[in-house]
Amino acid sequence: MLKTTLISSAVAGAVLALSAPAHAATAPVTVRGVVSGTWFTPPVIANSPAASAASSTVASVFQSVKVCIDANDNGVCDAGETSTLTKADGSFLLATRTPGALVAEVSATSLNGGHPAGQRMVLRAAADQVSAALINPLVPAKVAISPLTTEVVRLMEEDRISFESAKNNLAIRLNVTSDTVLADMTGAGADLLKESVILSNRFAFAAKMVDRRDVSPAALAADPGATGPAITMKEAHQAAMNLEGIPRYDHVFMIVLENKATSSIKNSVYAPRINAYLNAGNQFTSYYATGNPSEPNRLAIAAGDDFGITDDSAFNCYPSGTAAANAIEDLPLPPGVNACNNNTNHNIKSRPNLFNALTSKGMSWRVYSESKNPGGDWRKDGSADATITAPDNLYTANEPVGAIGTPGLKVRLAGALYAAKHNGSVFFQNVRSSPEFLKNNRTLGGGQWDAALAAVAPAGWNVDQFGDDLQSGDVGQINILEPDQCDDMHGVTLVGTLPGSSTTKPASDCSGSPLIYRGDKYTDYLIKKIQASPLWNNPQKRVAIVMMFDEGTATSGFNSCCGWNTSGTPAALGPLVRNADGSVSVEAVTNYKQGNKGHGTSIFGVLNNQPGAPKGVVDSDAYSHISLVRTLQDMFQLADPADDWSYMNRSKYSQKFIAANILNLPEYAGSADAHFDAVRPMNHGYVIPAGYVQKNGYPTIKQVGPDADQRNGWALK
Amino acid sequence: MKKICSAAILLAAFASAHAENFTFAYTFGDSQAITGSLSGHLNGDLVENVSNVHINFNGTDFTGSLTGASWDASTHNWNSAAGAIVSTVAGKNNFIFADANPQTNYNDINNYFYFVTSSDAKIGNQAYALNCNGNCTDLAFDQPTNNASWSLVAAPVPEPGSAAMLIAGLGVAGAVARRRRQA
Repeated sequence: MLKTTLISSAVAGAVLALSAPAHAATAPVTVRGVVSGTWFTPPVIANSPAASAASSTVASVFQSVKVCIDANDNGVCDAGETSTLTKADGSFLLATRTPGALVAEVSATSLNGGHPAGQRMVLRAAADQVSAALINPLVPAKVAISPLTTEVVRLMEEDRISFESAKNNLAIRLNVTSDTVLADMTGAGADLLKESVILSNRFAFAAKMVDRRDVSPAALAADPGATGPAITMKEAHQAAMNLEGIPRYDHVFMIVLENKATSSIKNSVYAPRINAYLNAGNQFTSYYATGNPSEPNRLAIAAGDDFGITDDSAFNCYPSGTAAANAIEDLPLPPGVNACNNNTNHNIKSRPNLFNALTSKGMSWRVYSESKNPGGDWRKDGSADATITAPDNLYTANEPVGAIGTPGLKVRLAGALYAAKHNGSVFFQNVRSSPEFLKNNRTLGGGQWDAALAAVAPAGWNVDQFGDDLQSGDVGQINILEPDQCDDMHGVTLVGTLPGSSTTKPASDCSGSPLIYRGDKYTDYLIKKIQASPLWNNPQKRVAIVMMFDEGTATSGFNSCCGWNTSGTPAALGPLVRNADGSVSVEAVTNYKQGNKGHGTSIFGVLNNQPGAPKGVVDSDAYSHISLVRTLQDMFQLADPADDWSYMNRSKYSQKFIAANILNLPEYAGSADAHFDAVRPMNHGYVIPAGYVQKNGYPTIKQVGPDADQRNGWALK
Repeated sequence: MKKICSAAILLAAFASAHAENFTFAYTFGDSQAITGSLSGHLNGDLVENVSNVHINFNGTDFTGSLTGASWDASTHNWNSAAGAIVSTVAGKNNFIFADANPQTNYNDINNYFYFVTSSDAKIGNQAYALNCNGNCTDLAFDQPTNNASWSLVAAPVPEPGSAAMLIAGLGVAGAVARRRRQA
């Protein structure tokens, strides 16, 4: 007991020394450790399936990295601070009488797993991590410095919490032990490696902000026009998790419904559940579609542009005589799909999109679609099948649709319940050609025909992969949920027959007001399913659910915004691109001037799982699918806010970008409302001027002046 | 008076002849080197009653009077009362030599060298040397220990000084005896 006490006090003394000012009579503290992370080999993004390749990630150690005792705790290695370089095995050994946190500065000359590191990055380990690893004052503490230990320090600083709390919180988020969080990456599982890649990208971006001397966020908060001081590394580590006011989320589930204007849903008796969620969460009340019909909207949701597409034609349609440029490369075509000519190219090649942007950064995406014919090709619409039937949905008199439905009616699986036009991943050649395409297109359950589909499904076909993925956590960062064309409120001809009769009879709820009620119930089903999942109930994971429509129904007035001048005069040119030599040119896109004509506003609601997040936010600034794509690029650090060119397609068209490139953007020269016509992230950062009358309003009253408050609908705290 | 002096000289010569001196050396995996000497009595492959320890690390002598201790696997701490366990066999070493008591006065330590072979999973087999006089930049660590590089050998004996003193002592004793007999 005496000895134990002696040791405890010895270690405690050294631990105290870690946080106490240096003085002569302190034991030298030695740290032996390793700088560890991940080596990520990006996927090969190509139009050709043969040329495409998946990404890979392996645990790694960093060589020739400067490691120092951060005596002044400023997140960088200063002159005079005890430092050393990591060896070939990533190890380092440091001793000091003035201990503190550890900093590892990965430089352009460092190696990551033997490869040139390429990008600068600062990794950190808390002083408390060193303390915890100290078994005796004279025995070197064994410490790993990694992106995960850096995240622990960042969480301590962001949330002003202890090392223990931050370590445990990160462990909970990643479903690992806290010891695993602090260990080197050797032997780490796939999820941990993935997180390491994501964090490495964030911390590398933080170093970039420091190196180019971005202005301190604190200074900008005090004065938006501030030109200094420069951002510190500690500030940058926080700022890299919150680009353009959009915080990092782990997962977003986007329930994309069909073809209903705000006025059809807002306060509708047929959509009581959606309205309840809108009121409980946060709303964006001026959210514009970019086109009409579905397909251009789905492309805009996936990539921030419609590429001139104005119809719902299949992915293999392109202008005759353009095969050299537009030919399908993921051959053969699905059975039953024939060659197709169309005035506009629907096989989008070489364009950036959210799918590939995510995989290029070590993240993942999913498109979950409902009521898909088992084993069917995702590129092709679902097929009608009279042998696959399900009971008609019955409603009671006390429901808003009244007592409808036909008992005994066997409703047939209609054609195109799964509609390829609603699946944005189908229209990009470089997505279809990627190894992820088949893996990431998955099934969504809860549908009317689930049981019948399961009965005829080939071995291995799961009619509700989404349900399993929610339980296992094997979901993407962005998950687009595509209900079938009844559950998404689109509507198709849906009929059935009664036993003993061959006469068809309409199903109860795939048209008219019951269609909205049906979609409302299905949306509620999905939300409840997500909210019951381990992901949602992991308090350290940041999860959002989006309720949105691909388009409204307006055909006059201001039907589109944000990245487009709705005046149409002069006709919009193709999107601006910056060439390799730095020059700017306009891409020629056939039929482009017809794109992004919009289809009015529809509801857009956001729920998240963070109890401390703002609720009841109403943001009436003008946003669109293009704004959403910019928001998602910020959320997952897919672009650099300081460089509008880094945003994909039209999502780069911020007001600043338009002003800077106005000579190449004649369609904006006559803009009467520069803010309305430009793209912005959905961060509620813009204060609507007093007296400003909104372009649209619900039901008809147009808001004048600013919102009641400027809280951010995506904020997590 | 003469009897006392001659007895003292004889005792000194005797004692010097029985406190064996050893030199030792250890090379870390990164080629940094420890050399040193100590006194003690070799019992089998263990050196007992270790004293008079001197250590040189990368060409620089450790400062201060070096105190020995061994790693206690049950308390995970140094035990100075148990003393250093030094052996000609590297795998039996369990010692630390520091310029202050490593168990109780670790805050006063400026340089130390330990070579531990322990069943204690917290430490295992480790060797570590640190000279913290100045900027603490002389340091080397091995885990596992580089046992092949360890050597502990008896210093060349008799040393010329000790032999001369023994002979002188014997001479004085003989002369005293002759004088007594003559008297």
